[in-house]
Amino acid sequence: MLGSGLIRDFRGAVANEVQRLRAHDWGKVVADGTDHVVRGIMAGLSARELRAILRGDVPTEKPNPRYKAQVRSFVLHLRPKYYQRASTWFTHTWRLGWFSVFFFVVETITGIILMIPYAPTPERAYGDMLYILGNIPFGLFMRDLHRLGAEGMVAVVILHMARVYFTASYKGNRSFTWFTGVILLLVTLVLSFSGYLLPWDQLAYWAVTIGTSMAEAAPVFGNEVNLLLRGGIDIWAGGLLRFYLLHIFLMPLLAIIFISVHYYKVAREHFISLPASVEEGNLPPEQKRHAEERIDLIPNLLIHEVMLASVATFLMILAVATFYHAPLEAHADPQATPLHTEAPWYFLWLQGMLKLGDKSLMGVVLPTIIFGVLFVVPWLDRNPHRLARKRPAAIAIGVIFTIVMVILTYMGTPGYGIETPPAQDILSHLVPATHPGPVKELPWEQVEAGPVGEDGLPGRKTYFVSYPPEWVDAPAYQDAEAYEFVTTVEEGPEDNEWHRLLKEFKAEVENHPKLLAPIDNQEALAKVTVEHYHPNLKWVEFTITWDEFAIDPKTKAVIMDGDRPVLKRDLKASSQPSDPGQVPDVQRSFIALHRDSNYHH
Amino acid sequence: MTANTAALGSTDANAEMSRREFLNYAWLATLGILTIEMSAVTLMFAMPRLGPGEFGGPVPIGSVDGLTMDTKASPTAFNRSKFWWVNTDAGALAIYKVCTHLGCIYDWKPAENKYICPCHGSQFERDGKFIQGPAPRDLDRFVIRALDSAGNEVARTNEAGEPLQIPAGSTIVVETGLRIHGQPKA
Ligand code: HEM
Ligand code: FES
Repeated sequence: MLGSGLIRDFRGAVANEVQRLRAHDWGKVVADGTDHVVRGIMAGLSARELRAILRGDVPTEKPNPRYKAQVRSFVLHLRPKYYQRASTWFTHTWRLGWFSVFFFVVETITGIILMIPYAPTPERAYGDMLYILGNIPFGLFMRDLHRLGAEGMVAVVILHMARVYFTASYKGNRSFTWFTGVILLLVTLVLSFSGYLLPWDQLAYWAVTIGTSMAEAAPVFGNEVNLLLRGGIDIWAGGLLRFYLLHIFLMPLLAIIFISVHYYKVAREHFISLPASVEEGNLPPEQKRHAEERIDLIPNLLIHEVMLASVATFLMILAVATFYHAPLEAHADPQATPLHTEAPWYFLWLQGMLKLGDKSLMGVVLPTIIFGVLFVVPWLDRNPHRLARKRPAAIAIGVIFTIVMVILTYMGTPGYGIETPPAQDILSHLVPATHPGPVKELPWEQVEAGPVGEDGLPGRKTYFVSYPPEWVDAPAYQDAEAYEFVTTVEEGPEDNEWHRLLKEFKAEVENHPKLLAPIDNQEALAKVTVEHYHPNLKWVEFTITWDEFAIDPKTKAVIMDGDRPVLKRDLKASSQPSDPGQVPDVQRSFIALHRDSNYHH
Repeated sequence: MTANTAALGSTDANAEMSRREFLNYAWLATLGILTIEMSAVTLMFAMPRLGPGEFGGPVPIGSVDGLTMDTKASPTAFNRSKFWWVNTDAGALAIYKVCTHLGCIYDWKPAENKYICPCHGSQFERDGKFIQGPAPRDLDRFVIRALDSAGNEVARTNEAGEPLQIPAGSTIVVETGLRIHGQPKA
């Protein structure tokens, strides 16, 4: 009895409770709870407010919760609350400062990911690169993004400086902003260059060897600086570790510190300059008022930046997925310098200057002066005006400086003004030491080697590229599987990439004024042999055998014996009796093609 | 202006140093000195030290009988120790394999009968004399020491780095730490 009464009471209690809960507005509870959490995370902005921002609507509450968010949120407080309209015109800044930050962020993210499988030691670095490129899903993608971002950042920072210069936005109290900007330019260059060594391939090794040697030319402490950077007499484990530490720690740290100082000046103190036309030009008052109107960071500018980030990321990914690939060459070899070591493009101007004169002057003193002058540009330029037509001298100097830099960059390219022996030069285009080159890119099957011999010897075929004409009919060379004569016939029906490459090779040697066909017709001027060395490996050897007129080193004229030009081999025979003499010069280059190394696209 | 400043406090430029001020200077000074000391220590950490056996020390290359003494032959490369062994009519030379321009390893080109640097094309004669290109001076040379069977020095490259006449039968040590700069180009 007692039990049933209790149960009834219990039921009643449950029913009451259910009644009470039903009456409750659950939708509101959830909504309030969510709102509380959202506001907690989003610096006081409600979900509704966030929607309003994304829609570009006016604030939903008073006082403006967006301004409050900019006080409460660390990230938002870095930005100004509002800008003057004209300072945000795209064609005033081109958002180049913004893009510098964008690339820095891309580099930080991709760089941290790349650090996971990479160890900065001579034993591992190159292998880790191969592993990243070949074995890790998206490894190639990540590395290409990182390299593209690095080049993008250098380019954008340079362009940003140019825009600030040409819009005269460094004047007055913005001088210090410019000064920190030049520090950032240096930091960006060192950041990029320190990363250059890390793949530990030939290009990296020698470009950095040359770069650090330049320090050695400094009038004082040159040797010490060189040793400090290289960590030894040559770059090896110590040097690699040093560059790694510069690249992943010291330079990013400096970049973060100076970007903060730089941007603090822009965001808190001086804001982005107005275009000179607004500040100094005589705009009608109506337009001027419009141009100087305040516009808030949130929503429109912030949303614009989100759009820029999205589009820029997309374009980078598109480039990396289609055509942009960072190079990787042969493993670093401190014993052998490849022909034509190229500095990264942003240092070609320096390489160009080095070709003009003494390395202390051109490699150290002048660059120091150039950067020194860059630092003090705002103090050198005393002209208070900003409009281009009121500062013709400054604009002219800027334009001339740009042109000179472009010309120096061109002069810095490896081919310019450097004399390499002609045969070596031609072969280095076919079989370069610093990148895969055209032969590696040929389809494997096209580079025919002839059938395996009955004796089991590997298939072997000789392509005579440039030869004495009578050889074509010589009985010794009639086996079409073993010999082929490259002709100058424009385009045969069976011509493929391989044949076209051979024809170009032929044209190059035959048109070279210095390369004479060996006068005694004992050898072909140019030939290629292909050996099917192993089922998956072909060995391709390019040979140029030539005679050359002897040149007097002083007068640079051909030495004559009466009216007959003297050949180099004649001179050599007399000066070096121990060398065979009486033979033409020979230059060979070979390359191994592997069936699976797919350079062919 | 002056009235205002006076109202704010009485620190004027000629005030005598107080004890507290002195102490605070002292605190700051310790931190300043610490910074300088740490910088010096960092520099000492970073400055490479070359140990024995590394490139930069004496490299024995055996008896002179095993070396080419031909005065016209191509130079012999010692890759690990970074020099070329060259004999000339005036005597033997150990020429540093690193270009005096910007540190590339140049090659001997038998066809041209000279050294040519692949980086910026500097050229040098067989004995290291500058021919053309951006390099500022002749190739550098290492000191060669010739020892007799008892290990006594019987000949040694002089300070000008001139070619060394090597007594027959001696053993050769090349001092890769003692580098003599080439003559500046004219
Ligand atoms: C890592 C490199 C750099 C970053 C991240 C950076 C970032 C920025 C940003 C975000 C702005 C706001 C305006 C704009 O977007 O154009 C700015 C303005 C400015 N920057 Fe840079 N900057 C860098 C390098 C430089 C360099 C190399 C210079 C010049 C030598 C420079 C000089 C200035 C000046 C003077 C302003 C104020 C311009 C104005 O008020 O119109 N900055 N920078
Ligand atoms: S390093 Fe040899 S020529 Fe420049």
